[in-house]
Amino acid sequence: MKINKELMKGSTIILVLMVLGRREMYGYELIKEIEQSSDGVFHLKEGTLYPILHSLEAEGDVESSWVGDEGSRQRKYYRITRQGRVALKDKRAEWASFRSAVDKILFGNTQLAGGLR
Amino acid sequence: MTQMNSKLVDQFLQDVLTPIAPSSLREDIGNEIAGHIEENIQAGMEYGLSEEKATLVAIEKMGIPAELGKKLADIHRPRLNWRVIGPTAGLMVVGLLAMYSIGRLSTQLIFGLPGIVLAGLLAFTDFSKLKRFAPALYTLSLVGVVLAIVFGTKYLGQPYLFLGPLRINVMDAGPFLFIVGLGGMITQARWKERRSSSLILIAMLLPQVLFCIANSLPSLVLFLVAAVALMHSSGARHWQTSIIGLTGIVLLISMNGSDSFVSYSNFVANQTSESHTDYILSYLLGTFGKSIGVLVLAGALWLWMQLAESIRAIKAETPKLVVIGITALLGSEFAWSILANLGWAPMPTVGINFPLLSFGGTLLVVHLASIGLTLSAYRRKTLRVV
Repeated sequence: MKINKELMKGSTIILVLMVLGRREMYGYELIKEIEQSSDGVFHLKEGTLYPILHSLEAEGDVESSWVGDEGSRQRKYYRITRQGRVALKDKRAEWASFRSAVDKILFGNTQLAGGLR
Repeated sequence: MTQMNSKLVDQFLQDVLTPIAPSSLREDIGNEIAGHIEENIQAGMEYGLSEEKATLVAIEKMGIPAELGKKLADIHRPRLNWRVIGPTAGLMVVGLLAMYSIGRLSTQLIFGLPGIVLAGLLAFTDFSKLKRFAPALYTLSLVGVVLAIVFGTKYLGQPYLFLGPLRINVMDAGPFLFIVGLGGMITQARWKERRSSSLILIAMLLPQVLFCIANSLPSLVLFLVAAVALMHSSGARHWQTSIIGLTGIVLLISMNGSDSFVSYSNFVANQTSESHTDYILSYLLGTFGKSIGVLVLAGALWLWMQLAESIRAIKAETPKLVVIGITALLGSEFAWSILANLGWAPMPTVGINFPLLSFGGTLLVVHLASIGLTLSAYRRKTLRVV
């Protein structure tokens, strides 16, 4: 199912942090990873990924370094920082309460919503 | 890639990079985006597309170049670190108030105003330009300190240089000038090379020896703390750091410590003599009450924490090291000054000042300039190379 752009907007940062929380990755890999682990539902636009990564880095939630020998293709790997892990934890808690509230309104009770997923 | 296709990619990159100014940042972003496009082209061709088609799809996927460029430029826009400017201004205001009440306001202003202008100029100059002056700054400081030792006029046991009517406190300014100069010259790579690492070691030893000869115990201690911090953060080997640390300690012990300090009881008996410099904090407490003391301590702690915090945010090696050096120096001065004012640490007869607060023109200018340097480093904190 294609997801509305506006719906994606609020959740991309948490997705990026979550995926980087598992292991360090470069941009192209990250998009593939998000696509795969959401069974193809989420496709992060490449044009939005880099501003997100760069602002996360400016805020200190992730850090990056170029990996690869001179001459061959170098890739810029991003990894989550300790501060980023704290931010991720907060965002996850925020997301959980947001989701359960929306589910409650849309589906009446959270049990049913759980079943629908 | 065919010429036609690489031209398309180059055009795209150019459109992305138009609003982005510093060249090292352009290179960094350009390489990253180009790498991504290349991966996409490869994936497209593996999927069965022709190279030309794959290139077009890969570029299309990146979105509108001007929009991407504008977003990235905004993220990397230079920013002033108001969290450092705030407490700096606060401490200065308290310092000027204190000078007013002691009757030395005009002297402090004569140095304070040019100091602020200098700090502003430094803050808005890119570090890449400032970096070039590091060796000159170091050499000049060396010359200044030697001149002061040879020709200087002694005051309270420490030599001063006179430039016309100006009395330059070379010894107090020394640690800052040397450390900023060294911070601008040291790199991780230099420690690994034998010749250049020996040169840096010598450059780190010389100021210590000079401070020892000049009998400037506080300058030696401050320099030592900051030098070890610089070495530790720039990837010096342990034995290299140990050499500097041990020589410093030996020099410290060799200095005649007894006449370098005043006892606390001595000071209490004769409170007014140095109240405008070393005992500024005690003076403030005595004159304006405890609340101002708490305010000053909170301001100093806040300033120091913000500087330490900015170290983490600054990416490029040189500005990071310079800010580490400055933060170490200011922190040691704050700590020593506070402890000595409380009677918990020895108070040297000269040379320990409460940054931005104590009377003293040379040091006020030096402290403000140092803050200016940290602001410049922070403005371009996302640059990987300067």
